[in-house]
Amino acid sequence: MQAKSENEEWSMERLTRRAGRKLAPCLLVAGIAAVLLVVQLMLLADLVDGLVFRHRTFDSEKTVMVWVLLAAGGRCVFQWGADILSARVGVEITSAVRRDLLAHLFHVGPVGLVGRSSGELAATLVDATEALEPYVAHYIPRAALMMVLPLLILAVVFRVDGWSFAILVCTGPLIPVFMALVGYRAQAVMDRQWTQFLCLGSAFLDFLQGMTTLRLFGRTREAVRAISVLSDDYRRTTMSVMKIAFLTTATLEFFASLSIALVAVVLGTRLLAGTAEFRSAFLILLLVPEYFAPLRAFSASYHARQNAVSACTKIVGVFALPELMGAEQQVTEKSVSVSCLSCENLSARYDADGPEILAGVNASFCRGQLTVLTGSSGVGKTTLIRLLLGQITPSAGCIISLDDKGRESKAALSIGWVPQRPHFFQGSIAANLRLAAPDATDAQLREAAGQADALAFIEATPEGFETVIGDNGIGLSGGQGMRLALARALLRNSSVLLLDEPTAGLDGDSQARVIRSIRQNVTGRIVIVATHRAEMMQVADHVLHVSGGTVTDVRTLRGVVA
Amino acid sequence: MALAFGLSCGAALSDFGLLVTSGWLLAAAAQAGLGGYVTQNAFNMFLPAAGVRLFATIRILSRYGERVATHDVVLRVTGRLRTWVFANLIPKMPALSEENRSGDMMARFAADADTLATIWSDVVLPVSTALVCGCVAVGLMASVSKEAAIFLCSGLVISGLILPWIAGRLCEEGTQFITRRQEIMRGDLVEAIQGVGELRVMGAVTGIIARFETLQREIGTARIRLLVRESGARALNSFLMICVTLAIIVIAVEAMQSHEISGSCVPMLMLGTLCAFGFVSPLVATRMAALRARVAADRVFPLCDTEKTEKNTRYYHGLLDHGLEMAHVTMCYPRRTEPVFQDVNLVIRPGERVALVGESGSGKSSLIKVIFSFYDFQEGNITFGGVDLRTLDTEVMAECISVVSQDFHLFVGSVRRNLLIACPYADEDAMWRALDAAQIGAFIRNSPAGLNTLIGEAGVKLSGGQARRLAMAQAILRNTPWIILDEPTEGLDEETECQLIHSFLDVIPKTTTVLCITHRLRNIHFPGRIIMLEQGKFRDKKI
Repeated sequence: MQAKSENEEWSMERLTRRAGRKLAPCLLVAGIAAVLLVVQLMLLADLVDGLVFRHRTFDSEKTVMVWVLLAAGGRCVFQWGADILSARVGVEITSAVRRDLLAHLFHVGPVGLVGRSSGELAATLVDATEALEPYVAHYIPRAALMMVLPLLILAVVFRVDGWSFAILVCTGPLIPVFMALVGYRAQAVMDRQWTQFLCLGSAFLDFLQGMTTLRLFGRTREAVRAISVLSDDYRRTTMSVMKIAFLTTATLEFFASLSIALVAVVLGTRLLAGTAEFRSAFLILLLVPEYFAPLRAFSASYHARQNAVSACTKIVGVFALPELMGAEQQVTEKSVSVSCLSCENLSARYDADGPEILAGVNASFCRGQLTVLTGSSGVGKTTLIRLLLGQITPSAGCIISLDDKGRESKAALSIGWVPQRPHFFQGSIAANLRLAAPDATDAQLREAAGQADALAFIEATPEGFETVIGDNGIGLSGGQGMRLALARALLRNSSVLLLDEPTAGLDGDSQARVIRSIRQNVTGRIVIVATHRAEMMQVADHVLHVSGGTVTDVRTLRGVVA
Repeated sequence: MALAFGLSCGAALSDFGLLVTSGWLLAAAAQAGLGGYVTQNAFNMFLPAAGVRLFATIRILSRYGERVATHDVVLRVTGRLRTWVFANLIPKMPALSEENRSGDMMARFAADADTLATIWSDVVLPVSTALVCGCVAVGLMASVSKEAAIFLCSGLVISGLILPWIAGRLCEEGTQFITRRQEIMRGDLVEAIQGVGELRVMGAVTGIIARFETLQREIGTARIRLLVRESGARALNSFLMICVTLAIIVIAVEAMQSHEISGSCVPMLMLGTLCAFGFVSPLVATRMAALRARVAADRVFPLCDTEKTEKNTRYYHGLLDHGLEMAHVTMCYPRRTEPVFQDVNLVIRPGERVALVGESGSGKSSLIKVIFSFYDFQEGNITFGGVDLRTLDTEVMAECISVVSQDFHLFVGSVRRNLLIACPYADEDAMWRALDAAQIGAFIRNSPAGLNTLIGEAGVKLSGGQARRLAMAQAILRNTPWIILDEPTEGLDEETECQLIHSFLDVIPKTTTVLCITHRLRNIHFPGRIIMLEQGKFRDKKI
């Protein structure tokens, strides 16, 4: 439900309404600037007319000149103010969209994001939201201003000269009509352009992160060619978008030029015949470009609107991802007191019509016990762990957590997790560990690393805990990464530990040390380990065999330890 | 490009021509109108009216042509730049990603290449157009009044050179700041998206969002600060324009009063001034674009800066007659002091089956990185097929050796696509054979889409063991004379592991050289020589 409300929150209409309200002061300021511009032009026309045709002296026109300067100065200041105000609103709105998007992604969780490439998501978060900014900061104020300035000019022209008024009234409204006709096709092309842009971004990131694999296969040239083809497709689509945009502008310019030429020629003829006076003719000539200027600005940013509409579709698409994980719950005192996790008739599937990975699993995991999940690869061990993590919601059944007194508890679980492929962030080893526990002291870091058998290799590096690792743990060997992830999970001091193949990539000695410390950490915790290793199974209290969608307790070695 | 430039000048000048002629037309007509019947008849209305229409038409056509031509150039350059950036990243790749996050590199690929390409449309074109048209305007003005031309010229210089220069100085730091911050933001986002699961479990989400918010706020504030300066410069510009216009009116009227020029020239000069300022007014924005482009260039070029070394890129059969020989090799990763290998020797002969065993982190996987020249070794000699490894291109090595690396990457798309990336010419039969040999054929057959089953980014829809077996299938499919397996059985239960190794050895030709890297000696059911890697040295295990 929450996804839906947020989804609507940033639809184009809502966005426009929200921005419109914030832009009100900006519009007022821009309106004043527009009025000052007309005043300034009227004064200028007056001045030239007075000096050239009425043979006034400079002295008598001094006040007019001062007024021209004042009007010009005022206009510049107000225009400046309007620019700043609209830019502020633009930044504000895009920041809000971005923040909500990121928060939403965290609610969707990793399983919901499967199949969505991270390059595409990142491009949506950065570039698509960026495209909203010109829409908010330029298009909306210009669209509003288009209603003000041309009407104002029309009013002035009407007072001054009827003929010119007629010409302007006739040509002005034609512009939006023609623009709409030309721009009609643009939207579809623009949508395609965005899809291609996101595609290009995700292909780049995918290739980049798989570059080692590509080089090992000797297939880099094909990747370059693929990127070049994608770029070229993108260029062609962009070009067709541009051509349409330019055609709209050309339409506008056609009418603008036509009107200037018409007005000039008609006025010229009438001046020649003596039926018009120079002052008003000159004023009109000054005003006509300004009459079309807001229309032209509007049409220039009409492109921004179409761009924003397409970008917005992509943004709404991300908002539409179901929130599999929901909002984050604060880990509280109660979380620590969870004594048992019990799965009742638990079933799970990834797609609504896909096969059931797990069907009717009944199992319970109690505090102080080490449970090992085993079973052949691809059978659903990781799926069970994802269910316990809350990354997917069960298609049937439920997971109940019981507190000390055997009552059902709704408190958020505090979990330490080691995934099969742990993810690291660029930064020092210490910073990566502290993600799990921001207030951990150096001694605590060392202790956790020691327990995970990671201390030795960390201290062997010259910078120790300050050694910088790349994103995705580049610079760490497979086994080192695993042990670092275990240290991170242990550092959290959580009430539940979920370990997915924690000894992968470890040699015999290291594995023995890691298994020993996992065993030590069982006290006061629920520990669940998915593994194939016999050594791990030997120290388990329970071994659950996962196969055919269900779980069977194949061995209870130590019995139930209270 | 020349076409775009010509069209751009044409459009700007006809704009100028349109307004100037109209101004002159009006003023001259008004004077003629005042002059009485005779002058009215003598006045040639036709020529200026035709001129007005001519300029109007030229303006529209050239504007349209200019825009199409310019953007075509820009987009072509962007596309080529992107491909170029990507191609230049390839040889530096695994080493480069230690220092640069993939999000950062993506920013350079997507955003910076774009900014850089707009140099043409946003910098070169407006500057040259302003220069040419400004000179024409001043020249025309000088033909009427020298004094006015001097005023116009100095006004244009202030507005077109000095103001943008000042604005550029004021905004330099801010532009760099914003670009840097945006890079960090993109990097953070990619990391956060890929690590969503762990961040959630660790309760680090609030911290990440707070950091993101701070970044956004900093970028927002810096942006507004830049805009205040930029649009301040623009406001000053239009004020300056009015001042110069007034001055020119005064000069023109004085000239008129002393009968140097006719009255009709006054409105013409005034309109000409307004229009001439139109040429230089985009220059503030141009300066900003130039700044952004310079920052982008500073980021793109060092990243793509590669030393070109002549390498043997041709594969030849002779390479397979000799094996891999390492003699007294010392290798140390950049910015690390502890060497991974210290004076090691290793010989693997063609057709051998070798297991390489060592502790976690002892440098087993580093061997692959050295063989493929991902990292340089400092001392000693390595030869492959009797040829110095330093002279062999990675592409040649890839033709000889298949690797199932520990951190293999599966690409977004179908199983078929991933197999085709490994071996572009494979037919379906070969694919199924390889999949079956890797013990994953049954699973793929059972999924409704078969070979077209989609696997998500980094193969997340497959379980860990399944993904690894798919990577095995890729190597089998490639059917190269050498195969290196790095921890091939990780994430597999013992039974599957045993089957996998057996079917793998069955399906590959008997002559294939196999190097299997593992840390679990007791679990490999692997015939052949066993080499231990201990304390940075290789030594044969006596059986």
